[in-house]
Amino acid sequence: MKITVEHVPAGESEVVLRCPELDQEMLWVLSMLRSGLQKLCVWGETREAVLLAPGEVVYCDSVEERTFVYTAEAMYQTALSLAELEGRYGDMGFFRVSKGAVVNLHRIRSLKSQPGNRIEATLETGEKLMVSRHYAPLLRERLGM
Amino acid sequence: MNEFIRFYGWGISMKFHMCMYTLALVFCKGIANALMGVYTVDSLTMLEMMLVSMAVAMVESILFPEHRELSRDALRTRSVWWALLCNLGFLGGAAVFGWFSGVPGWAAVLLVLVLEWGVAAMWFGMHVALKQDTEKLNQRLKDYQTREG
Repeated sequence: MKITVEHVPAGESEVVLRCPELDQEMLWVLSMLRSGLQKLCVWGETREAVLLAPGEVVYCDSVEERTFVYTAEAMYQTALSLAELEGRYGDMGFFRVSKGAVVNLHRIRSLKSQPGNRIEATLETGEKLMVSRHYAPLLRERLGM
Repeated sequence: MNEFIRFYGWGISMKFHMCMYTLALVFCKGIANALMGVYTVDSLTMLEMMLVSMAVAMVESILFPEHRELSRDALRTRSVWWALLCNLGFLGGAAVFGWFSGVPGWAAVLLVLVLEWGVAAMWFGMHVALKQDTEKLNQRLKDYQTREG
């Protein structure tokens, strides 16, 4: 793939993808661009809005109808529901692991098969989340098993 | 709170194994009774079976802690202890409480064989099948992270 950077004197920055068809490589470039643009709006304890790159998110959970977003360093709150987070950032690795949690598949350190068709996910932060028996087959499918 | 959650998680996992053992024992008891023309199982017998299964499941959870990776040697030693304790628990329970008293000799041998097969199947499930599945899951996860990352 040829990469060209053109410097223009003025105007809005623009990215143009020129290709005969959207092949795997171009789709990957597209998803990278989208992930860079699709920031997640969250707020912390000081209620100051922060724009997070989806890749920074380790996992999200829902407690009493409030959705919390966890990065490696901090915890935030977002107005989006877990279903919305999964729908919006599913292409970037967000995956529903139980009724109350969505995990970023890129931030999982390891998985462990458990009795009863459940899977234990150890996250980069060392925290452990259980993939329920309802979502475990979907995870296997997502991983290409 | 974390301690409570850990205890709760341990309880769920332990009870899952306890239920499997209890069901297997009640099933064997049902078959043995049917061979003798009895088509019911005493609730007291079922309670005894449940208590013995709970004791075995508790010992098992101590021998194979869920959140600890055991070395090959430790796993081998603990598996031997576990097999001995399973036999002691189930055969001892059957002898003490007379769960299978009155069954013909060949049926008693068959029950012991079923028990040994069940114990081996349980060990295979816990330490071979799950381990292989875990390795496969992690391989696929790494592939996914490389591919999509």
